[in-house]
Amino acid sequence: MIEVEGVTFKYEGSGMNALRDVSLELERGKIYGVVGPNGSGKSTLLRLLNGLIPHFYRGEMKGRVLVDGVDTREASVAQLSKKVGLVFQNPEHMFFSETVYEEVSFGPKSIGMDPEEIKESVRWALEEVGLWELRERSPWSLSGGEMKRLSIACILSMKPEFLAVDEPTIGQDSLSKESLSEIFKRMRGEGKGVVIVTHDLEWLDELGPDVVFVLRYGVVINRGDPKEIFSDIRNLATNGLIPPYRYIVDSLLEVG
Amino acid sequence: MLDPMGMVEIFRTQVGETPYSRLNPSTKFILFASFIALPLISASLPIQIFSLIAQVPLIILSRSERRVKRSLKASLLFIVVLVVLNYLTTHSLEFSLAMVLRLVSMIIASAIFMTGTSPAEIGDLLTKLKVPLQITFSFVIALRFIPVLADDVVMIITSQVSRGYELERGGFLEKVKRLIPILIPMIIIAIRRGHQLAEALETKAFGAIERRSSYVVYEYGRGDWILLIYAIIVITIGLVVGTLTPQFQLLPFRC
Repeated sequence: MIEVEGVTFKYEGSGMNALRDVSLELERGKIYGVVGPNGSGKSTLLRLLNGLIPHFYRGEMKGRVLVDGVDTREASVAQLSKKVGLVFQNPEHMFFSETVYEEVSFGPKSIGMDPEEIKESVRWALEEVGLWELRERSPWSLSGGEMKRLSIACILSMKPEFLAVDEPTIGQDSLSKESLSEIFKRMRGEGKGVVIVTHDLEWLDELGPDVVFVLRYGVVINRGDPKEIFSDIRNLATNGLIPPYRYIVDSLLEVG
Repeated sequence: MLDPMGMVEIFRTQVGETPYSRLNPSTKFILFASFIALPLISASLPIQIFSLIAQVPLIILSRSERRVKRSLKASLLFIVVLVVLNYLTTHSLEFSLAMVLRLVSMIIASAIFMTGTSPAEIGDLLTKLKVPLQITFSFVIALRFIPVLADDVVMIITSQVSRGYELERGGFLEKVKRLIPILIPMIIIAIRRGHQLAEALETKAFGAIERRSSYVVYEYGRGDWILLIYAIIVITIGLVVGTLTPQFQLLPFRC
């Protein structure tokens, strides 16, 4: 379980807090959606989960984050990466290997997996995201959707308990989005916790998260059942979010 | 001690609303050039100390205390190496100290200039000085892209660290080798950005005519005149102190 306890964080050189007194609990086997307008602290929240904050990003942090009871301040990002895998918005930032296979094996090698275990986990991760057939290709030759799936495989191969994903659907076509949904649902089925930061509420609704958090100005202003959150159209719209289409239609029908 | 992101900060232009940023770009450039030239007038310690003290009003006017501190902190390794090498070759603590203060003085001058001058202003200034457009533009683009590439580097490092990669492991050579997963994506991203930029410039008719027109007019205000006089006074004092002191030697240890 990941427990975020009263965390307030301000980046070095920034005049305002990126997160303010945020508390939440994340369990295995569930999908969590984190939504909010730009600058609401969504990405900062993800960086907290795998220890990039406070280990990499400088700033003032109050409160604590516990990953399976371990304070993220007490463990390195490398150690935490075995528990929480973070998939970044732009996959190109991580690629440097000649082939897809080598790229995916980078993480397992970094955390010191056995050679046999590396082979097994790379194959499993590539099959999970449907890229096993493309394993000999260069990561740079893949399409946008394939690159995104590759970045997920790079993290999955480390067998983390939690998967935190930043804006997975940006620049993805509907087929790629569907494929991403399948991957995340499978992760949930395998007992992993999935945390997804997104602006794409339509896609998130189709994915079917268990809990949704709404952030604004670094504060969790709403949390709970996705149906309740998405039905509150006015609240979502005030926060610069487009509610899922079916909820807009329902609302219009009610008014009518 | 080694802080590459801090080194990048030295070249990151960041213009806020300060009395210094409102100055005419040519005034800022003259001040910058003066404070780069001043510590070079002589290797004597008094000149270096004077050069540092004379920059205090500019630090206050540009509100660049933070930037100066960060730049100096980032350069700490080079400063230490400079002191050690100078002391080993000259056996003079005073000379070593003077050389360090010279470097510090130049770093401060750069930090002030970069804090208060936008790349566009630098470009306009170079154009006024009749520097060819291609050179001016390349320089301005390089300045503009430093923060972009710096942000890319941050993202690359965080991506690799999140994959369990430890940058700080091992001895010096091992650490250098461990930079490969950072450098390769950085180079590829930089080349891609360069390509995108070239395409964007083509679509915006860059290079269609030799002399581009400009609508920006820079005027000289009272602050500009005051600071230009200040630069003249500072350089004059530097020349007088530098030439009158017996240590008027640029590299005395070679004599």
